Amino acid sequence: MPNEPHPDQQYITALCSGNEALIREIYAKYARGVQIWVTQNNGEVADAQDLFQDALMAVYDRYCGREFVLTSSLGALLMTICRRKWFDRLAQKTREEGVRKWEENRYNEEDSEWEAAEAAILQQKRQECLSQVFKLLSEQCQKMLTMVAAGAHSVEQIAAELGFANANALYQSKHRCTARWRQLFYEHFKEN
Amino acid sequence: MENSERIDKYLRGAMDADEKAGFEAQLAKDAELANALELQRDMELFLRRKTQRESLQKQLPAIGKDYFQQAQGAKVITMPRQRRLFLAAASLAAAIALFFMVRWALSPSLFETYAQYPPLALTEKSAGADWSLAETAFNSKKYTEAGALLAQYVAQNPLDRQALLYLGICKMEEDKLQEAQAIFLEFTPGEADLKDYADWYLALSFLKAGDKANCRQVLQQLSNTSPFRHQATDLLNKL
Repeated sequence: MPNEPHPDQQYITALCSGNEALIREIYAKYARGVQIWVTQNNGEVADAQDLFQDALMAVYDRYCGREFVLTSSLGALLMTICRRKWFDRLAQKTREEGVRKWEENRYNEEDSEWEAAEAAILQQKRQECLSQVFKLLSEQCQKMLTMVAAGAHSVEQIAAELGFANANALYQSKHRCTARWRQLFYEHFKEN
Repeated sequence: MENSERIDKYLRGAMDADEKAGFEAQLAKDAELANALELQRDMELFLRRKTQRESLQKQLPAIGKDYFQQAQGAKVITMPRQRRLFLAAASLAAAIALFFMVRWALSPSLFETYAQYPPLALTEKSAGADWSLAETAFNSKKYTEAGALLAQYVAQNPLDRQALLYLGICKMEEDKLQEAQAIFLEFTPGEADLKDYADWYLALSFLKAGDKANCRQVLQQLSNTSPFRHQATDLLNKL
């Protein structure tokens, strides 16, 4: 039997479409909890704001543009992502202490929330890396890949606009650009 | 045909049934191919969402500044360097602390002063079940007993947000402060009246925990229409 969507699914849909009114509702509902938690754990208000925003981007990267059903509260997911990210930052600052706290925290989390948070953070890292290495491609590659993906024009129109002899030449170039992009990703991506 | 071309063809839905079945069978046993397919999907997703993602990255900081606020009056005070001055200040501080400790021991705590709750009334709302024991326990300040009964009531009546609020109060009185705070934070601006109460009790839970910074911050953010505005101002002056 398929899982029933959680009412908070509307918030993720809003995040995906940039619906400001509902995104503000996400902040109104969940930001304060994160702020209180972060300030109780050696962080500043600015850290909390940064973490919350980062967590929303992780949720965006994980769910937007894919088929999914949210089965638990977005608030719980955001809090888990923020905790995980905060302990990672602590671990970078004071490695030993941070890792200990991180481990303690790990075993206090609900497994399902933890797994969802891990998946979101991993997806965010992949998307961030793709974004970084995309900028290393030639301008022609970037423009062509973006135009083809947008689907607003036919391949023939794109080929003509970018100066390719025909659609076939454009496809060959697209494969070369994609291969280069993929190679750059493998060279730069670090999971941990 | 190279893997990348096969993946591209698969994602475009351009394979015939046999080719697709063969490709999917290979995916199940070839981790490298599966990883390459996953990456290709991520690349396409990145390209489709690129503009929107960049726009969201700009939109969030602008929204976030309205919801994350630094507590007012937080200042960093530099300690005097001279040892003599330091010792004098420390002695004075110790004397003041002793004065307040004696005063504190002889008078109700700030928390006790402000932690006054309206009586709980469940019986009139609950048809078919007798919750008078929960009422009696709460109204006679037996918070552990009341909390256990209220937890049962809330499980059976999840839409009764007022009862949830009282459960939070019981947790706070039992010193289960994090559980209490989690309950008070559940109330949203859409539940205007109850949220005013939840915010006030949230501030009291920080007061009880000795966390003055967060207590002050919550008090400063109470809504202008909160019935606790005057008490909040009074408490802020004492913190």
